[in-house]
Amino acid sequence: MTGLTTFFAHIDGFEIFRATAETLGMVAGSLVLSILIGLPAGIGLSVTGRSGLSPDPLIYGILSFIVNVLRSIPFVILFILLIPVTISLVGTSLGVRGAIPPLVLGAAPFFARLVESALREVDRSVIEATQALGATRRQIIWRALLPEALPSLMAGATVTAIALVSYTAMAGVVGAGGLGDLAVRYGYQRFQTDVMLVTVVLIIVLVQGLQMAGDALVARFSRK
Amino acid sequence: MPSEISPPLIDIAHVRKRFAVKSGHQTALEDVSLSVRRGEIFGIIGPSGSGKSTLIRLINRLETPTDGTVSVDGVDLARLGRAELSALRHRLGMIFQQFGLLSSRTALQNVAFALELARQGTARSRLDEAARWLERVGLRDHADKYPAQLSGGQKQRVAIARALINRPDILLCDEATSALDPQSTQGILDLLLELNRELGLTVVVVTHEMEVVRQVCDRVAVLEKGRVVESGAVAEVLLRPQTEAAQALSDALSPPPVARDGLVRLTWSGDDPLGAALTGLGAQLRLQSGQVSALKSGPFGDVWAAIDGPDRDAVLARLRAAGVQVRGQ
Repeated sequence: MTGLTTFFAHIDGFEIFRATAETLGMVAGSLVLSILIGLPAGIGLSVTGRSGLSPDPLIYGILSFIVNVLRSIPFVILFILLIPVTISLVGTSLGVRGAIPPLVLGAAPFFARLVESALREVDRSVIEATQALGATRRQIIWRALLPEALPSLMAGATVTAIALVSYTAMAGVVGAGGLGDLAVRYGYQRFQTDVMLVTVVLIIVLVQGLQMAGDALVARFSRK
Repeated sequence: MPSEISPPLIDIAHVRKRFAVKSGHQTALEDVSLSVRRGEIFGIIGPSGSGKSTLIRLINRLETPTDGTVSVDGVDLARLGRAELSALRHRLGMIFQQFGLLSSRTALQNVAFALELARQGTARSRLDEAARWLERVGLRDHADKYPAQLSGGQKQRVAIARALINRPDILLCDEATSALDPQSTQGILDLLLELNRELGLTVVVVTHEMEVVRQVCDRVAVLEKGRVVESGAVAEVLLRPQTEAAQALSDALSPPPVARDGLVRLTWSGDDPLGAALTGLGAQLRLQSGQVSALKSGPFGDVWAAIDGPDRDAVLARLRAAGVQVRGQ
């Protein structure tokens, strides 16, 4: 017993709780914003793509280029590059607030691609039949494409949420706080292995929980 | 019978359709003209790649012609704006080989979907109307099932209810029975005939199966390599095929026997003339192969037979006089 208490000597329950709350806040906030931005962008990619509802090589090219650029920059570098933008947007580049803009810019393009491929997987015969029923383009998107792709979209949101957990850990290294910050400052720089262990376990639990919740949602809405 | 004088409901005139492909363009349809009369069931038959799906898709402008005009009820489709096109499509039902049902909606919700798109009624009244149509196509007990829980034939019935709930004048069927087993195919064909009879629905059927044309169509156009090579009343095309393509289709209904030396092929439309032709003459007639079946217009016979006896020529003369096509003597 004493061995265990000695090993976990550096664990500060309040610190851990605060860091977990910060991580959850960053993931939740940036996930919501990433979906709000990534969903329309993904719809745009799918609609203007070569086999889309109204192909438009120019718009598709521009959207695709932006998405590719943002996705090709490693997240830590994107975070640092964006510091001036972040400060002008939210007033600080630190803490949960400062982390949200780079997290969103990192995750939204990723989610947009997932949306694009989810929409592309919708059975062509469904779209054609909906067109034949006299649907407008808007009706096709909102009443046929999106409802049909809902399970894939939820799976995509799950993957994005998990990617965001790993991004927040990286953001922690550059001043965002949260579990990643705790792991680096205490676990790594001060050799407090117990803190490292606890944060890693918490991150694993978080990822597992997100995946299970996502799978449950997908199953709930799947009709195939 | 639809009147000959009434203007055609669907008129396709000198249509050419080209698709851009990597090496320039590919011609899917070349100088195609045909017209469909109100109240008839019109068949378009041809092998795969003959352009028949492209042709039917011109009628609700899922495809636009490169040249030529397509008009429905006197309106040139090329002139329609987006809103007018939507309105037209509400009056033109269409069903597909792959059904095209929304997997995320129940059968009932799929049928109501068509009213929703046309902005008809309230949510409640749409579901009530959809329930009536599901009953009409024989699926009352399956209303709350999702497409994944239905058989192919049931899915096509849902698609038919959905295509008809906006009360269109025309139903377009693009290979609607090609993915179905023979029993479901029969059910769908019977339903099409019933809807044609009871609602006066005009039906255009695209198929590669002569059996479908035989059972439901009044008239047929034979399509080959993007051209209409033959068209007319089904009995007429089967009785006097002018082209190899049409001959192949009629052979598909009554396959010729392997050994046909000394056999004659007798083809007729209407009541069986064989008995009358033999009465009082010294000859026997033995059927070797073929069938007598029901076209929409009445009985149709296509058989291979051996005719022997001193009065063989007199029998053949009587058959010809009765309007029987005699070939291969």
